Amino acid sequence: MLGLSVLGPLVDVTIRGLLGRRRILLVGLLAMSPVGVALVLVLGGGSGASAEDLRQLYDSLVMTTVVPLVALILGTTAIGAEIDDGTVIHLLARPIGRGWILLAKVLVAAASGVLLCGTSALLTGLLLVGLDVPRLVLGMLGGTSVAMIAYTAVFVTLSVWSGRALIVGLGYVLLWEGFIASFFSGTRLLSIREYGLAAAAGIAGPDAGSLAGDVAPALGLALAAVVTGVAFFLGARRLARFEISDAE
Amino acid sequence: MTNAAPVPTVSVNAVAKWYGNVVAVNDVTFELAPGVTGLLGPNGAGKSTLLHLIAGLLRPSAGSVTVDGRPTFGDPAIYRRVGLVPEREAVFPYLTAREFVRLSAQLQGLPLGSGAVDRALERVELSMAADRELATYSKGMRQRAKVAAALVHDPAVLVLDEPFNGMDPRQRLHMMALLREFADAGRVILFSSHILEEVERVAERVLVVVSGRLAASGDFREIRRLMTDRPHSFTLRTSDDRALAVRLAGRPMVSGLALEDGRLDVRTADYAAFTRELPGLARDAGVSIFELSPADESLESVFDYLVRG
Repeated sequence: MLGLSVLGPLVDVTIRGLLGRRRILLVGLLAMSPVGVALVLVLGGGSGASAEDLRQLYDSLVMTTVVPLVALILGTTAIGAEIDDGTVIHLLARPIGRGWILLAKVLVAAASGVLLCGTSALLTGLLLVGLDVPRLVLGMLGGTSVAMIAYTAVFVTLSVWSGRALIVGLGYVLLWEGFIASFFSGTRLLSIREYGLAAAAGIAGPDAGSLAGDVAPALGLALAAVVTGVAFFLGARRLARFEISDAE
Repeated sequence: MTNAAPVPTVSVNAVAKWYGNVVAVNDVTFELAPGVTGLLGPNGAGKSTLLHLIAGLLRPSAGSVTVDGRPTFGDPAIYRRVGLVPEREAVFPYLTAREFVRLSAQLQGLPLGSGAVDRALERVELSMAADRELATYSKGMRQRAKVAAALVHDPAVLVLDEPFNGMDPRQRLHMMALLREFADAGRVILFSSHILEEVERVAERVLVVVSGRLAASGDFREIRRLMTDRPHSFTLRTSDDRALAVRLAGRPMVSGLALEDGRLDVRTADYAAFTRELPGLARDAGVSIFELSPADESLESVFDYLVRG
């Protein structure tokens, strides 16, 4: 079977597939929503925004809503849409390990999410605090990236396992990440959002302030890596035994 | 076209596929030989399920499907030997036909400079439109693009689900010629279709699937002849239809006679006896036979009979 050489064509077709779908516009708007909020704060705030405003915006809006939802849409579109419309058969009926297909989907979804949400985090940070607390802005960028990679791996895999990945994923984002993991500290070790915040706090160092939570940065990174790896393993295993039936 | 690979073997052995309580395919056994085999059956009979089982996209609930002795499900390496043209029209709409076929070639590990992409596009007569996005293609053109993508690596086994869908008559003839060309090179071609005339013209063998079971397989004319419980119909044009009808009327193998305008229609329950005895009966009656043709040997009549059971 073919190996690394197929990754390029798979990545290429996945990028074009993502860009060709209308929902990418929705993703773009969603990813940039913190910039809009920052603009409102700057333009209407009068006395100017503080680093704490930025931390709160990052914690409550970016990591709780924007990053998981952007990852959800990108992750489920990357392969789920191809499963839905039947085009995935043109990838599966080829002599390539199915893990390469999954890897291409995760790479593209994660990179697109990091690009969109990372740009948004940078712009939001620059608008609110300028260059006053650069480590905090860098931390936001790092935390966003860590969470985005783990989320997209989970959501790509979810769309291989379930035909209703978007709904299941939405339930997970709203109930688990948005509610349970936010309010019950005992569950934070099982929250991708917390891993992202931990990474952000680790990079921000003394600028982390209220971002520093229950999960230590190194542990957050390690757990994010484990979640990503396990999700990828389960997704690749599922795809290797994936069944396709044309309707007669 | 090259044919360096050994003769492919495709074996379906006691295969069943069910979804919960629904049985899609039940206890089907056959082997495919090089040449063109047509897969026939009404909607919902299990044709697509069977093709997907052979193409390794469905796991058999029971039995086995092998290509060259290797189970097809869970082994992507079989796609080096197998090309699949799915029924669903879905293609990547944002790719041009050339990009679509090139993607297939790349995923087959073919070097881009090999000319395989251009050859495949040429074979399906899409060279002129190859740089247009597939979104702008008609149904028939998309079908041909899928065929080009499936045969870009010259597979030993080509599985096609309703390949003539959406093609105009000229394209169908061309596709039939292409399938014949592939078969003549020693490849195994299996395709499903509801366009019986094309199946009759292009397929050497037929597999008839009814309600998930294999109702018949083999040369369709042979299948027809084996159905001794159903009368065969012949149309004769002779120098004296009435005189021949009188001779035939007393024969036990003749179950019906009809004198129509300028022809004699005969129904017989014994194909072999009728064709053996007819020349002698005509000679004794002093009748010349100008034309003798089986009236119901079309694939459609075979198919209808099998479906009605």
